[in-house]
This record gives sequence, C-alpha cells and structure tokens, in this order.
Amino acid sequence: MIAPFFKFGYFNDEISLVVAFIIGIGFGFFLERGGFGSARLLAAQFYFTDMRVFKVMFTAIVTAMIGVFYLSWIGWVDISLIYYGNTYLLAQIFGGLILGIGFVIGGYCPGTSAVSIATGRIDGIVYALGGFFGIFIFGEAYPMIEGFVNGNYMGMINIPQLLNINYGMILFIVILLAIGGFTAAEWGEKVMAKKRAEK
Amino acid sequence: MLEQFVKLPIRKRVGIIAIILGFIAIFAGSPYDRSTTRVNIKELTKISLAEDHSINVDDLADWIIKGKYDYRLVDLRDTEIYNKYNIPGSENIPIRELFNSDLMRNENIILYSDDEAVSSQGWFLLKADKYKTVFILEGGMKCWKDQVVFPKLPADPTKKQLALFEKKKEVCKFFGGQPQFGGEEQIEQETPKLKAPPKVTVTTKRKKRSREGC
Amino acid sequence: MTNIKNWFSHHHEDNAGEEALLPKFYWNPYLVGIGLGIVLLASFVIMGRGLGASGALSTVVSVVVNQVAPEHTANNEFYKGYLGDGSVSPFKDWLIFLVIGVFVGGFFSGALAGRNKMIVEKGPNISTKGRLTYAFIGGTLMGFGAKMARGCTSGQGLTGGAMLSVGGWAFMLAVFAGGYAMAYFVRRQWI
Repeated sequence: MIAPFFKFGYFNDEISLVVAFIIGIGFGFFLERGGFGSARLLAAQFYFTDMRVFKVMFTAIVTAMIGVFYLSWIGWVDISLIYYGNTYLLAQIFGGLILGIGFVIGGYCPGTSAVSIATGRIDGIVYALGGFFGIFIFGEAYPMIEGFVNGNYMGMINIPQLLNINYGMILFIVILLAIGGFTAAEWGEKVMAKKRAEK
Repeated sequence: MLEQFVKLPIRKRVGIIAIILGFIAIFAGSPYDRSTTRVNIKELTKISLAEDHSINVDDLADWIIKGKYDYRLVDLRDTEIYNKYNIPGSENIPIRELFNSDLMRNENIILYSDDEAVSSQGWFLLKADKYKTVFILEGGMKCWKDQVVFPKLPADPTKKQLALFEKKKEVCKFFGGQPQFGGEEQIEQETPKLKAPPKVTVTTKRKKRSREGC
Repeated sequence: MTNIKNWFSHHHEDNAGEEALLPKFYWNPYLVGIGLGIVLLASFVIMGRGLGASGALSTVVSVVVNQVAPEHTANNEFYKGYLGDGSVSPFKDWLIFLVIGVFVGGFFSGALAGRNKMIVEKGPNISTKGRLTYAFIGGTLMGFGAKMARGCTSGQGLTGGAMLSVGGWAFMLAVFAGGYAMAYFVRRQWI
C-alpha cells in the first residue's frame, strides 16, 4: 500500500499546503464550470427547474466512492487511513436542516460562496459575511449547546458497518439510487420546462 | 452488443459502466476487512532478508527516558504475563489478536515478546499485511531484563566496561531495576512492580488527526 | 458519436424561460460531477482526507475573535480547536489553502467563460436590497448549521458521502429536506 501518500510520509506538512492549493484550484474550477457560482442556478434545484446540484453532487460522490473502493481492492490505497468525519447523528441532522434552509434563502453553501466571490458576485460576499456571523453565534452559544452538539456519538462509522451489509452491496445500491435519481431529475426538469413554456 | 453500446448517448454508457462496476463490487468483500490479504512472496523474501529490523534494548531505553514516543511499542505476550511486568509505554496486543488490532499501516511499530521467536512471527504477519515500518526488539524481554533492568558488571571489568556500567546504573534506576555486580549467579530477583505509565499520546501524528475535519 | 462541443455544453430546450436562468455554456452537470469526483478521489489518494470549506471560515472567525478578546477564546473549546496551541499560525491550515485554491480555480474558470461580473444575482421579483438581506440571513443560518453538523456540503456531503459515512448521508438528506421545505416561502426571491 503506497497511498494515501501523505500518511505514508512521502511529503511533509509544508508541501501538503501546496497540495491543498492545487486541489482547491481543481475544486473551484469544476464548481464554476458547473455553474455553481451562480445563486440562481443553485436555488433552481429547490424549484425543480434545474437539478444540477443533485446531479453534480451525486455523480461526484459515486465517482469517488467507486474509485476509492477499487483502488483499495487492488491494494494501492489503504482505505483505513482515509479520514472522514465522525458521526454525531442528531447534531448533523439538525445542522443539515438549518444549512438547507440557509442554502435556499441565501443561495449558496460555503464552497460555492467562495466560487461566487471569485467571480465577482456581491451577494456571495454578503452571504460569506453572514456565514462568519453565523459561525460567531455558534461559537458564543457553544458552551450552552455543547452537550447536544457532541451527543449521539457514533464514531467514524459507515453505512455498511451500521446496517451490517456487504460494502459492495451498499455501493451497488447507491449507484442504482443515483441513476434512478438522475432519471427522475431529468423527468422533473422536462415537466417544469413544459409548464413554463405553457405559461 | 458492442455496436449497440457504442451507439448509446454518453450518459447511458457511463451509467451502464457504473452499474457493472457496482455489481462486481458486491463480490469483492469489504475494503476494511483485515482477515485476508494478498501477499507478494518474492517481495517479502527480499525485505525479510535485506533490511535490519531490530531495535537495540539500550536504544529503546534511551528513547523512553528521553520521552520520545513516535512509535507504538507492542507487547505480543498474553495479557496476564503482560500485567505482571511490561516495558513502560507498551500496549498489549496478544499475537493471536494482531490481525484485528487498531495498528495503522503508516505507524512505526516495535514488537517484542519473551524472545525473538514470537516477535518475528508478528513481524512477518504485519509485513505481509503491508505495514510500512515494523521492528522487533533485539532479544525481547529476556534481553531487556538482562541488559537494562539488571545490568551486569563482569568480574574483572576494564575501564571501558566500568564507564559503560556507570551509565547503565542510571538507566536501570529509572526503570526500578538493580545493577548486578561480579560474575556470580544472582538469585532470580522478583521483578519490580513497575506499573506501565499511561500511554503517552504526544506523537505528532495524533495531533494532526484531530485537525482533519472540514 | 455526437459533436464534441455538445459533450460539454448543455442548453435547456426552453424557449420561454428566464434569460438569466439558462445555463449558457455551462458544462454538462454529469461531466462536472465526474471531474469533481476525480478531484475528490485525488484528495483521498494523496492526502488521505477529503475536501471541505466551512472549517476555513471557522478559522477566520476564531482568529478575529481571538484578536479582539483573547481571554474569551481561551475559555471556549470551539475557538480553541481552530486556534491550536499557538506554536503554529492558525492560517497554516490545509483547509485555508484549499479555499484559496477554490478562489483561484473559480476565478480562472469564470474568466475563461467571461462570467466574471460584479453583479448581484437575484430573481426578477425582488429588489437588490431584499436579495442582499436574504443573502445575509441565509449565510448566518448556513454558518450556524455547518458548525453544528461539523461540516458543509463539501466536507460532510461529498467526502462523507463518498466514504459512506452515516452522519454524512444523514446530513445530506437533511440539507435537501430543509431546502425543499423552505423553498416555497422564499420563492419570490428566485422565481
């Protein structure tokens, strides 16, 4: 196993920051290419007129998921060394709801707001300022809500472990769900387009 | 069938490839499963003959005294024997549970047991599972006791041996041992009740892990 | 085999729609997704971690609060987590450099397509002031929610999703649920 390269000591912290910068360029580039610098396009997801948020996110998730699985299978990547967040179930569900509401009101999420600022959108700047404010409020409230935020700790658990189902089977189901979702999304877009043409 | 496939729009082609990959994955087993691995025997032979995999007991004693803990010291013996006496800073992973442990493939690992037989087995098991850095303690617990905890001064010491022994006296005091003088056979001393200090987690690797969030 | 240009651009077959809503010459979202997925995969393989964004915002907030009131941050576990122990600048952080890269990449892509404009994105039925107010409110909710969930759509959504994290998937479902639930009430801003 030679990857993840950083965890096996192939380069040090300083270089990892350069790596971050380069990966960030790729990240921002594709986000903007997909139109994620535009709040109107992002919000259109929630009105079924343009489902690209769903399409891009789940295509990316499925691509990386398949990639990690197979690279690990042929022994190039040590999947146990790849970090992902711990699960704090209720806090994440609650936080997700709040973030979703903020998403449709403000029109961005943290990553896309950076892209929108980079392409000159003033509302992106205001949104990011709001983001700072929201984080500040959280920081101030933290001592009071610490218990809830750190509750339902389940560790670095993944779905196959939780449901005790074969990892590959979950992978397969996720792919099927994604393709089903994309088909439904395309259909939804067509319906909305027809509706607007009729108006 | 291939001509039909090529005619499909690109979206459908990617979708079909994804479904096929997903289907194959069902039979591939979990990537987190540690009970099986594929071993490259040629590579392993080369590695086991080429490198130097031993750590000297004196070096280890030095590291422990200096507080250098950028490795994981693993005691492969049974738990009861471990609880009687172990090297400070070590963790107990009986060799039959080694494949199930939380040792990570990128950590520096030092194995020891009573002598080198079991720790060599452990070395082989870990190396076959593609662990990057694995060492065994030269001479194992026997050597640790002989040289670090109960250092011996030979009957007619040379100046050099005397100087070396002075240093060893200090070291063995740190571990609660007793220096032995003369060449006589000493009675097997009751091993000092050295409680292993709580695991020191000052390794740089651990600090980084906590800041990998998003 | 379709025309190569058509692989990337994606025009809606929509004759009466809003001009600004037509994704002119944006790439096919599936290709964007594959590209993004490869970037994410590269991050996994090279660094052993995924992407993220909200952590960078938190670092900035923590540093600012620390400058203004250091005794306050010393007692607050949340800020302390982002400030570290003082031996290293909090800005020497992987996420900070990632987000700087996002700025550069986004700017570059927008410049290539001529989409870099200092405008306010909004629907036809709302004023600029209204839009900016909503943007600020939305941002506040986002910041609070992202910290509660320990991540945002990049970190928890993409990274957690690809690694099949329970919390990541729960988060993603909650985000979409929250968005759809609220969409009706702010439709005047967009439609």
